[in-house]
Amino acid sequence: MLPAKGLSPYRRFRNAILGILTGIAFVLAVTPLLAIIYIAYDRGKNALSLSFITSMPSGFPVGIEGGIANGIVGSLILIMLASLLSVPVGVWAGLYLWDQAHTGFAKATRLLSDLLLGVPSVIWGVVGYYVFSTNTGFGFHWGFSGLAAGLTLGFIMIPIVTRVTEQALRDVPRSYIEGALALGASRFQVVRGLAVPAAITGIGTGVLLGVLNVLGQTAPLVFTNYYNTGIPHSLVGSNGSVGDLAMQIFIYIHEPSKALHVKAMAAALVLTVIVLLLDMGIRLLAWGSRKYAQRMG
Amino acid sequence: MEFNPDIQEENEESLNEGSRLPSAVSPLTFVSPTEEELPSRDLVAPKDLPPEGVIKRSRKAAHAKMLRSEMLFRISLMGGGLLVMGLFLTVLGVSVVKAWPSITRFGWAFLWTSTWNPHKQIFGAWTYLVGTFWVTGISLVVAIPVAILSALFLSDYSPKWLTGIVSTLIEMLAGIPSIVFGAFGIIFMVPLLRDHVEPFLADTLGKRWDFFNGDAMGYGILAAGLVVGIMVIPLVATVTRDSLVMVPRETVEASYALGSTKAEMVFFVKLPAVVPGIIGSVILGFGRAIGETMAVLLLIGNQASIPTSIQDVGYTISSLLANTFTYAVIDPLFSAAEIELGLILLVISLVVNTVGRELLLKLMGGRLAGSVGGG
Repeated sequence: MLPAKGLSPYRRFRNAILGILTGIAFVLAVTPLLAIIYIAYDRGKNALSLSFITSMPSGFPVGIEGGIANGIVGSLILIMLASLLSVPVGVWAGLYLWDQAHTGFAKATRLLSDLLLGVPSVIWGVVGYYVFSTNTGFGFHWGFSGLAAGLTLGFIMIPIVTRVTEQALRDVPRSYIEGALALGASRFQVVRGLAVPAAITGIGTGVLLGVLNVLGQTAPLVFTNYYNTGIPHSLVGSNGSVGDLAMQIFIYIHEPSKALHVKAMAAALVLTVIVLLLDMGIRLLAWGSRKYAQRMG
Repeated sequence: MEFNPDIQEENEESLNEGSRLPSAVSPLTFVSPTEEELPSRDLVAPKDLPPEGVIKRSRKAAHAKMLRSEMLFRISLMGGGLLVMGLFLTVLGVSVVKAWPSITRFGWAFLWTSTWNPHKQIFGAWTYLVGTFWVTGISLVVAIPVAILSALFLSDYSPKWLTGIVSTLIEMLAGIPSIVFGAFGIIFMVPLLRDHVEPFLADTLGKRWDFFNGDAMGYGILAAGLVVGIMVIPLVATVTRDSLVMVPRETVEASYALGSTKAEMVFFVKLPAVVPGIIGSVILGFGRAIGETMAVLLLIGNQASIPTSIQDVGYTISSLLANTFTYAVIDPLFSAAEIELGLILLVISLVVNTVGRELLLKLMGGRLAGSVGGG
């Protein structure tokens, strides 16, 4: 006798239920994330305006009036300092890992660099404190300052830039490199004239990825910079602290004041929008370079 | 184009003459260059060649010079590697050296001592370890099922036109800074838990198990765990999705050919095939959750007590450090104890991240987006 046609009701039910479950789970996963953006907008919209971005905080407690210009300027300073440290070092180390990929020393370096990716941000804060900010013992004795915080954030960025640079260089076709070497180019010429230009979008993506990771970091700043309601005149010393967007949100939300919470949510929205725009830029860059690579064959 | 009879005729004529070339093309000629046109003989080759040995030596010297510069370049590249190594040693060195007073004073007992009394100079990690694992545990219990099922949705169930958009969306949402999650928790999650969820839990499950009873404060390990869970979902989902799409098409097709439904294919073939990937992604999620600082600091209530109920407040290692480190540095033993806590966290994170990464790298052959622990 032939088996009955089609699936048994039990199997059909089982088939449907898994599909529905995955759909529900996906909605459950995305809803809170979108809700965060919506709630930040909903609670912060009373504070949002163009002058919120361009004016300094005022009133007492500081921030109850005015905007977040100090945070935006400070975040820019920190990102600039972090990039100044991490881009040269990261690209340098990435070049090394790519060029001498199979030596034992490079393998050890790669392992340590990957390990650094997993260091929690509080630990970076402690390290930054003892290297840059502390006033006793070894270290630079810069106090709670923008320079200390920027370089600590640079520490966080270094392994990210290293990793992405190495990956981008590996994506350059091996045959190009070998062709250039066969024509008698020196390694320096290959790196300068071929490998780095070919991988430059990848490296740029890596730097932006690092900036993205560093932008929302708050914990290291608690140890090395804290916060400034104005714009500092110097980056070192006892009044060298800079403002920072993430830190500003933290301080505002930590107060049980309704008005500050509104400001905090507006600032959170600004930070989220900046991060998402940056993320989109990275994706466009990566997508564009892929397209370009396809056209070049 | 107009037909030109003249050319036609001309060509015919030339053909008739027996020449295969049209007359317009002159035959190839070669005129040898005159004496002036030639480059001077001195330039082409010196009249008196240096002896063989000299040439060899100069070649050798040039070669050696090239090798030297190549070597120099390679060594100068090594500087970058040394800097990264130096950075790692700095991280480890600072943590160990600064924690040393506490390590020597308390020994292993530090791990299971639950007293934390700066005035009496007694420090123990147990309270914070328990708090950390409560928050991480709650977050993973929330995140893992949702993340794995939504990874399945992304890899198999979502319609084609939607896949690209929602995958990008979930990857982008993974980048929202943790301080924003913390603010969201305070504004939205804490009131929600305080007014609705926790009284409900106490009324239903709490009647049988004390574990669900509590003060309904809103703040506590539940709020922190939930928010960290939300934060971890995109990471786990994306990495699981990445390993799910690596399952070979042949395997999937073979399963269909044997008559399985889609759900059977996914559940009995695809999921078992990516178990290492799922474990790896969960481990990475654990690594992210355990190092989470600011969101937890804002939500957990920051009370150094061991939570006995899901509504209790607590303290985690990272939030303790972020909260109290700046005044702990005044007392060397106090700060050393805090840094020893940090060292424990560091070791756990490093082990967890390495294991997770290794599992995933084996599965996916080298491509893995970097993720930084917490913020």
